[in-house]
Amino acid sequence: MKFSKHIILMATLITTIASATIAMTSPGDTAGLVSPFAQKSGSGLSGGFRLSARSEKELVKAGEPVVLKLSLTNTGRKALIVYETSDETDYKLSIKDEKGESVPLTEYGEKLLSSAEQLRRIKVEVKPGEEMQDSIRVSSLYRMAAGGTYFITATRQFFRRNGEPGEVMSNKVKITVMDEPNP
Amino acid sequence: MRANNFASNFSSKLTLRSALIIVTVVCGLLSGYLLIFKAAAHTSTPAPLASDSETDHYLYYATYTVKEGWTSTLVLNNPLNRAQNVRVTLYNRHGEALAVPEISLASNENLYFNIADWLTASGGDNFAEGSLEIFFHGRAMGIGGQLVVTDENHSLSFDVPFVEGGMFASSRLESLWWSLDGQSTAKIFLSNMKTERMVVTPTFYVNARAYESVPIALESHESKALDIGQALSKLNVRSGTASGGITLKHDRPPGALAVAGTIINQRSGFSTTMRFIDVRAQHSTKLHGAHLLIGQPDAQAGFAPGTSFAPRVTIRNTFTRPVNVKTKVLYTTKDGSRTVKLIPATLAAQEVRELNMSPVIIAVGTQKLLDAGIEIEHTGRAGAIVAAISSVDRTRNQVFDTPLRDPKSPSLDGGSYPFRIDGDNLAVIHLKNIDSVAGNGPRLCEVHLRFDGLDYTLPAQRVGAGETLAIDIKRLRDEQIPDGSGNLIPLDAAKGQVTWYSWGALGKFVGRLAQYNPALGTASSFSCPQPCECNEDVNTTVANPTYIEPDRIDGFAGESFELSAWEKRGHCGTISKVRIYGVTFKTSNAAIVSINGDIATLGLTAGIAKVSATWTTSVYYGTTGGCPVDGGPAPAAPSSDILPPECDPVECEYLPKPGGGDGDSQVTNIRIDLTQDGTRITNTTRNVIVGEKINLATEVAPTTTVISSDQWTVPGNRIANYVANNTIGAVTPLTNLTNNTVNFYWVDGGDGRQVIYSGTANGRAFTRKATFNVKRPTAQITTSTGLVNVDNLALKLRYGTFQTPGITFSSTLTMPAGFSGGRRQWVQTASPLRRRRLNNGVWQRWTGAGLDTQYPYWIGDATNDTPETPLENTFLEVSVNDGFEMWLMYQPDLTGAIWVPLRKLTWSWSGAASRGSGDIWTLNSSGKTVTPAVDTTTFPIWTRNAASNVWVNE
Repeated sequence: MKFSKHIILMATLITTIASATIAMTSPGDTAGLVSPFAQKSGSGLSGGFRLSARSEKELVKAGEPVVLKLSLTNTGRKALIVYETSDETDYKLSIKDEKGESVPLTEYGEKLLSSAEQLRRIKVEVKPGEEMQDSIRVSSLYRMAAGGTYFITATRQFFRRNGEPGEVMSNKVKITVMDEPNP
Repeated sequence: MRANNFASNFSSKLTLRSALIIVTVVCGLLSGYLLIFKAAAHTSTPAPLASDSETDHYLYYATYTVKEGWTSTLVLNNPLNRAQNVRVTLYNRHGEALAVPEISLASNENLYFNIADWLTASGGDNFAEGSLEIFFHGRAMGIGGQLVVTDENHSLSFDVPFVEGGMFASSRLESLWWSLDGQSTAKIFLSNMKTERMVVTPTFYVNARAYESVPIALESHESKALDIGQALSKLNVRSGTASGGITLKHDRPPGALAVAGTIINQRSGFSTTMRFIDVRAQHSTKLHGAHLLIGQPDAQAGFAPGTSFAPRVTIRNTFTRPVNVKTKVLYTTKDGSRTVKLIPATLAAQEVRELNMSPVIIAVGTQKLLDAGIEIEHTGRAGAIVAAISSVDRTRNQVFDTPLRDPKSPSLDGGSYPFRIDGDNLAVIHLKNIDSVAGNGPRLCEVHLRFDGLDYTLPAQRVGAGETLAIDIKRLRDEQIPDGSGNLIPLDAAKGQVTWYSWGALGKFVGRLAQYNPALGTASSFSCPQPCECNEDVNTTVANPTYIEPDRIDGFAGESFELSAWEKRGHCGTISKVRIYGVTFKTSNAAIVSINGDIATLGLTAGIAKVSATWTTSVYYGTTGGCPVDGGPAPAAPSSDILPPECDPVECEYLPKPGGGDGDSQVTNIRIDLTQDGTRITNTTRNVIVGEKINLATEVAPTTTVISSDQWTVPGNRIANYVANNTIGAVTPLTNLTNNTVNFYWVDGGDGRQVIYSGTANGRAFTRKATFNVKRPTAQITTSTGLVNVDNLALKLRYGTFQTPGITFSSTLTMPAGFSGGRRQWVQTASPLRRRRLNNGVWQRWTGAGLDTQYPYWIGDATNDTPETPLENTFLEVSVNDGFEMWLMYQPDLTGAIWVPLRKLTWSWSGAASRGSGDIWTLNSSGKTVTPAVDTTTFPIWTRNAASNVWVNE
């Protein structure tokens, strides 16, 4: 599956969002703190960004790909900075099952996410009103083959123009994987 | 004694000759004779050899000699396709007979006999000279015979034409003599063909004045020689004797006297033949001669370089009143035919005059002639003019006689000659169309060659009015030219028989065969008629006996084709294709194919139509005389309008045939167009842009057209496709160029590119073209770079900082005129080498080239990169040496378009850091490079992703 990225200029007026408290860290550090702000249904807000997450399907059959669609929108008045490496690594995902337990990584996910080497690292300035869309094939990274209900949240680090880091968390997406009926 | 022995003996002697000896043999004393009278009773008639329904024939030769260095050779030719027997009788000067053993000639066989061999075998010492008689029972001209007398030591020869009783209408014969100098001798040989005593009275004409000589008495079969010079001397005629006329009158019925004459010069080797004419047996006031040598012959004629010929034409008025004479020479070169008319001459009664041939020689100049012929037309009665024509080279010992034929003689319209093409022997058939009216169009003749085990029939030959056709038999063999059925003459073929026919109403010819050997200096001419022994008719036993050509037309709008109607006509066991002229062709659809006379032109409408024609066929029936009817009765009501004007109804004639001929031809008017996205673009110019999907196809009508061997030619840098994702980037080359469609993308720009689609449509080659101006945007890339640094807060060795990326790329794009829009993207490949030394001292590396993480790298006008590697407290040292290639690519806003490369640059960064006390990392070294961007049409390709590298111990 091809994951493409688009930046879309938003024509709508962006509502001022309460600023978040962000721990000071280097702009390049991916180990930033997760925003503590409460999430509204359908999207998360933090420091001028809104991160919306949704699944292509709420119900998927076991073995079918689970694709998470992400939309990062600068809802503030100032440009914000993100670094683009790859869709799969630019977001930090939290996937829990219905018991609240974290879902383990796949072999591919472990290999991908364990590497900290970065060749492509594009500094992208997201102007007010601009939106970035990403798509992550979650089921390639996490073991979601078994039937059940999963809850996914995504976070992404960003920076203000002065280098202050921040992180925005998405809304929680519920996805139910259905076991194949016995033949 | 077997005939074959004679033949082999003679062959061995022929090769001894050193100088050119000219031999011209005419079968029959009179040109183009007809058996008007039945053969006279013969007192020494042998028993018939064949069916009683056929007649006895006696061919008589006035002289032969084997004395004083002379050799006499008899050639017998059987033109029929059945065996025949021949009896030869020699008569010495005194008329005593010596019979030669009977000779059998197989079907279409020819044999050569040296008379001296016969004499040796029989002990006939007193037969060293005399006359010779051939007897056979069969059809008129069923056997052709010729007698050649040669003196090898003096390079002299003369021919002795045979005579047969029925050839004459009177007891008076006319001829003339001429010479190039005062040292030539003219001799006449007289022989009494009968048993009764005869008296011959010669009359000489010198300067138009008559001198009657002493009568000469000839007893039974007795022969005598008359020296013209000596006879004139006795008559006290001593001046103006270089040329003159002679009349021989005898007191016996027509056909009782055999006569032959020769003019020779022993010093120069000049020799020519005197021909005697029975004026009363002539039918017209025209004479035709086939083949004159003028100027330098073609190299293939075999003569020594520099050899050049000039024709000599001497004419005599045998009439009692002046006659006007018009002479013209028609010659043919590779560029066409031309006629040269000589100055008209008026000859007084009995005047002899040599014509001025300078206009002809000047007109020919240095041209190489394919062939030439001569026509003489005169006033007065038929036969008023007799002529002697020879082509003489500068040495005067190479002389080619040109026998003349009366076109209205009821000839048999054909000939059969033996020929040899072994060694240096050459054999050339000369056929002259005797039609003097150019408007009548070409006439047809058939030439058939027989070799041992092979029949070789050339397609019917077309010859223009008055023109002479030359067919070099040896050339047909050596150049392996196929006949009408694809047969080839074996390269070892040495001898054979040639037969030709004029196609009755479709042709009227005189012909002869020139047999010569330039290396040995020998030459002879054959003009024996071919007997008319079977009908010529459309052969209905073969497939498509009548048809039109082409039998199928496949072509394209605007093309024209000549239509022709044909009949497969059978004649004496052979089948020839004969074209029928004057046929009206019709079309079933004038929009597809139109007709104008014999020309079919394809219109603008593609499709299938038919052209057709019907016509009246004819059958050539023998009716009387030597032309017995074969194959059924002749139609009852002949149509006079199809009879050839020269055709004598007592002989053979063309009659309309019930049923007629027809034929048709399917015409397929083919249209082939090139299309782009369904729009016809043949012969148009299109502006396109790189990356645009070019969908070309062909539109063919009618749909039943069979396209084969089709091939596209697409110039420029073009590809079938480019596919790229995070794991592979690959170009699909354009290789499938042999379908009726082709889809591709141009990568580079260029105007005037001709895309060609070629192949064959229903077997017809075609080429279609469309021109493309391929436009390409021009782009520039500018870069700026940052610094390699250690971030001890984030614990990274990095190229660039938050404020200043390691490298920043910006692009500008200039679109070609007429184009706008499109997108830019960046694609980067990486060749990283990253190393680290663990706290235990082990070195590890992270390396491997491939796509830099994600395809595309970025979509937009500008991008940047700030690569980094982590610094952890489990490492002692870390180093980076990464190389990159960055492409700027363009994609037009068109459906199906692909990304194509515009510019490319390479860059790198390096750094080495070590961990010190307090886990503080120190940058020990660093570097960076970037090359100027260059224009490129090379696509970025990869087979793996460099981000998938893993750390491995070194």
